[in-house]
Amino acid sequence: MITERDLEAAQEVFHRLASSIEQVIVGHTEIVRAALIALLCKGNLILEGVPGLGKTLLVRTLAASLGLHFSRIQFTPDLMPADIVGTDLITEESGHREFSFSRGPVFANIVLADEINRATPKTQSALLEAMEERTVTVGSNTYTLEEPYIVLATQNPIEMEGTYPLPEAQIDRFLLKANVRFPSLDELISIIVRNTEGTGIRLPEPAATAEDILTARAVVREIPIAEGLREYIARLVLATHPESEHAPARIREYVEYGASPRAALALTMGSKANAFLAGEVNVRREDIRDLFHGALAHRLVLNFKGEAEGIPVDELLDSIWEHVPTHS
Amino acid sequence: MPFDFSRLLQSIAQRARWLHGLSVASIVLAAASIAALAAMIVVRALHIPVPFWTPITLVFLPALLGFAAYLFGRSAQPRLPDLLLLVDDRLGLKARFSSLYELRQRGGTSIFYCRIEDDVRNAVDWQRALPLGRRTILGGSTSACCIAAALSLALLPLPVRIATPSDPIGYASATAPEREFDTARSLEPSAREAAGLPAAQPTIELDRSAGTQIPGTPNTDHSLEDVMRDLSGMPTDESVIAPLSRDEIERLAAKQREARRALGELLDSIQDRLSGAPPGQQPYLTDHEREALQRELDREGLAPEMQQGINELLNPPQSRTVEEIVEQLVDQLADGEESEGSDADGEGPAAPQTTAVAPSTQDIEELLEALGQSSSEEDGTDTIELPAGAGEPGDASQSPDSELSQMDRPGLAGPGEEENSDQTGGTDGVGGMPGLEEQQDPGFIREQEQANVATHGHFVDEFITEGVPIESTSADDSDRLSLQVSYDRMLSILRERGLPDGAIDIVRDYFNAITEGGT
Repeated sequence: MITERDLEAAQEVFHRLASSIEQVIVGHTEIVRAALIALLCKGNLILEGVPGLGKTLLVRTLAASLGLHFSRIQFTPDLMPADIVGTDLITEESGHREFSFSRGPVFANIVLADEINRATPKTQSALLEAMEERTVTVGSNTYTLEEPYIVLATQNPIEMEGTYPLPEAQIDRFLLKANVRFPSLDELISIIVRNTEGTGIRLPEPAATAEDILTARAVVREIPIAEGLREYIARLVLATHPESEHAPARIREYVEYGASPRAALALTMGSKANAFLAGEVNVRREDIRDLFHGALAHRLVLNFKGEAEGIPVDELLDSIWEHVPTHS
Repeated sequence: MPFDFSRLLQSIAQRARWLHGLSVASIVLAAASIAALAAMIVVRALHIPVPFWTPITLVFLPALLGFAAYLFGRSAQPRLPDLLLLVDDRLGLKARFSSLYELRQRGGTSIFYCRIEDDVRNAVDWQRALPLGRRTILGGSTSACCIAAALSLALLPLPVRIATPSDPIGYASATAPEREFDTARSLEPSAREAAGLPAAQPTIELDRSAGTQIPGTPNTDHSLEDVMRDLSGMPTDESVIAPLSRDEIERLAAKQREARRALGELLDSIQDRLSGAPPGQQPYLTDHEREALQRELDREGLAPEMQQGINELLNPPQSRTVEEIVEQLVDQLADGEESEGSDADGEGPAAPQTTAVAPSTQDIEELLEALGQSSSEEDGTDTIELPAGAGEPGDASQSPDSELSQMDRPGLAGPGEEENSDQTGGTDGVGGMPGLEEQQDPGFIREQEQANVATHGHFVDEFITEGVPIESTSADDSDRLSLQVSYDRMLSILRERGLPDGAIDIVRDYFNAITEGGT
């Protein structure tokens, strides 16, 4: 049972956490918020941006702020699944040989899957179970991952040669997708100053514990969302399907597959987390709007025409947002 | 005061139902009122005769439909989650209201319940969130305008169908005073006298005393409604004929013939006796002859001219002798028999015989007789046959649907009817408009001449609109003359007098009808 004290404590922790991250990361407020939302919603986050924008630094800062076990996996084409999840090794002790499981980097609280699209689909798929079920199965043994657990992946939208786009099944397991934009002039100057003067960047001290995160997750789940807004979310997700009656014309024209029910869950939970981070006590329509693109953009599969014409997914989402009525 | 969320929800739901009812009602009301207004306009524009209750129905039917739609719309239960979200959006409550409802549905045990309730408690001005919709206001305004317009049209006199005994619905729907009035009109003079029934006062005198203007005289205040009222107030031939069956008419005509025959025999015997009297003896009537004449005078069906002549014979003036009066009566009787003989060629029952013809009009009578023969062959539009004072007898069955065509037919029953003119004023040729000449009506010129126009028989006592020039010109046949009236000129004169076009049409239709398509 969540108490008033839990609510206040959780809000205080995440306020402190956000401030701690902002001391290191210049700008990227939306990205930080998206990471916190993914953490609160027991989800995963994929960050997309060109190299050098601070994606990895963001994840490292988040991990440091949380004081949790952090591991980083640099995805390369020759990376094997066992390199991620671990493998059974023959060990010899006192002349007695036995298999012992050597845990891979996936066994952590915060996993950074850097340039995840450079690994083969087979290796990418090694993360599926960990991301969704929070378990890892090796041979006949299944290992449960420690909570809080979150996978933060990055991918480079350029240099696509030699990359393997994430399969729909895997990308659907990311709660949100955040596009890391290039910093503005002031932000860039701040980045220069912070990295070239003084002691340089120093990762923050832990501002929260695992228990704080779990409590905050429980608080977020208690945040009420009105029935009308739930239906609104459902209509929005249905509108991404070209065969749906709610779909606008552009969706029918350019979209091959719409978002899965996970998108509705992501949008609902993300809206709750967004309301929590905003200090609100219930989900508002603004919360849904803030999460709409992040929760749905990576779940839409364009058809050939859409791909050929280079239709931006965000434009399609905008058309959905304008088309779907707020009231039934 | 404690915050009663349940009561608030109930109030919101009630207001939503009320608004929904109004919304539905406004749509239905607007559509119905527009339809009613259109129907009213059509009725007014096309002069469609409708029962008197139709305008009231057209006005109140949209209201009834709107009320029914309101009840229907109000019966629909609003969906509270959507409704509350709407209130949130309009009041800027950040979905607090609907979230509170959500938490309440879960039992209200959440830590967020009290926080949200505190926010909602003082922020709810929910009536502001559910105002009357623009569509409702627009629909209501449209309805109000349409109904007001329809009501205005309804308050104006409509071309109400004349109730007659043969129209069960209209007659039954007419008020008792209307029926009494119609009955009184139906007992109008010419027809009654022609039928041997007691005469009543001339109808046209009622119109004149009511201040209505005779067509043809300048009067801009004489509206279409006035003309229609005049026309509708005139006794229709239906209302006159209806009480008399065809058999009754034939029976009355037979009585008239019998009266003339008996009178003729009596006059012949008197003439024989007087001719056999010794010369130098003052002509006189015996007591037996006086008694016989008195019986003939009291006999039913005798024409008033003949009655006057008999009275004169019974009490001869000093200027005339009994023999002269008898001779005049015999001549009149002979003329009437000739007219009857010509009527017998036509269709339908025989009309009362015409006997009274002013001697001074004999030459014009011949002229008109010749005109009738020539114009019937030409059938031109410019050469107008003088309006027949009497329609073709026996044509009542030819156009049963035409109300106007059936008007006053007994009064126009035939050329012999002008014998009633002295008492009924029926010499104007319009049975329902007697007494015109006596009152020196400036609107008409009475033409005493008798004409024999084609197959229509003798036409006498024609009325032509005053001021319309009549030119006597030679027809193709040089030995016959025709009276020519320029129709266009006549029409322009009528228009200059300020008569409404509709009134002109109605009057023209009326005369066309009573003359059976003649002029």
